[in-house]
Amino acid sequence: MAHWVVSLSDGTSAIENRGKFKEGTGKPSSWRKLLKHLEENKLTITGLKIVVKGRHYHLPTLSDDYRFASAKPNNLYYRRKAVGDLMGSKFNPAEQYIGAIAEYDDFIIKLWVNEKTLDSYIQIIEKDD
Amino acid sequence: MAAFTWDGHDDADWNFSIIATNLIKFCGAAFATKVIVGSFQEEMHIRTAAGTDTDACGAPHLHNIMYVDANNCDIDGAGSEDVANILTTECIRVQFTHGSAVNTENAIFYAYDGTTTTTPPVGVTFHALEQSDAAWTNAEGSASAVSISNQGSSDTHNFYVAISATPESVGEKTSFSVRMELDYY
Repeated sequence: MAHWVVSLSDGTSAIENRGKFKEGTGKPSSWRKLLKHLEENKLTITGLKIVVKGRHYHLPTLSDDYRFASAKPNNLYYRRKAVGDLMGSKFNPAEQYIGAIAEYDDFIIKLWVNEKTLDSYIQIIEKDD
Repeated sequence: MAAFTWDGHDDADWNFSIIATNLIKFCGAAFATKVIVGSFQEEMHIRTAAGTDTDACGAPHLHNIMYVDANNCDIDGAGSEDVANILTTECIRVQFTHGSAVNTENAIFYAYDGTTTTTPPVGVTFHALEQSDAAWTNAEGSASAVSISNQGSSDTHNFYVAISATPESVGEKTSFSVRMELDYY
């Protein structure tokens, strides 16, 4: 099962659909539970990776000691992308992606991984002025 | 688990399920009538699996919203009116469900050739809108998609879209698919 793993500013980690972030019918999603946890405890996300079928996909982090040093993003977050077709041969649901997103002053980097095929895509999107 | 379902309204409820074996058929003045080149569909029906091609929606049939011009449509043959008048129950409902409550954003809706999302459908002019839009969008290829409104936290999200198409030449159009994409969290 694809999932996200975040490092937090208090040194702890959070994993999608695990522990206090476990999802349930009608309950907030794991990510929204995480956002609430961050707000209540005045924490920030310092690192984010996504894991799909045992493969780990990392974004630049806010930590100083990361082995692949990089410009530090202002913000890290996650999204999923769902795609469905109405007509044609690839009827619903056609594709499902998990994404990790790093936001900088002038642009956003989005890393998407197809949860079935593991194909990955990187978007670099300039922010509007 | 996330899933899309597509439905049409029969004036009682969303009882027309659009699935792999019950797809939308764009028609002329009746189920068995083809759409004329350069004209938009006068009726829409649910047709059963390819090969049998029978009308599965029955009376009252699936509502039809036909493109007239950029700001107007014809709903079920009632004459031209502003697209702002379109009701949700006259649209196709795209329902996105998830096991927990999620927000949606960056949703888009468009037609493509069924293979490459940036490529327009072949031999078809396609217009679409989200209910409450002020104008149709010539939504051919992902770069020209209809932008769909963000929605707040819920485990069920309903999006209401109208679609209209005209063939650019005689013959069956096989490189024509309609797609919904959205981000959620």
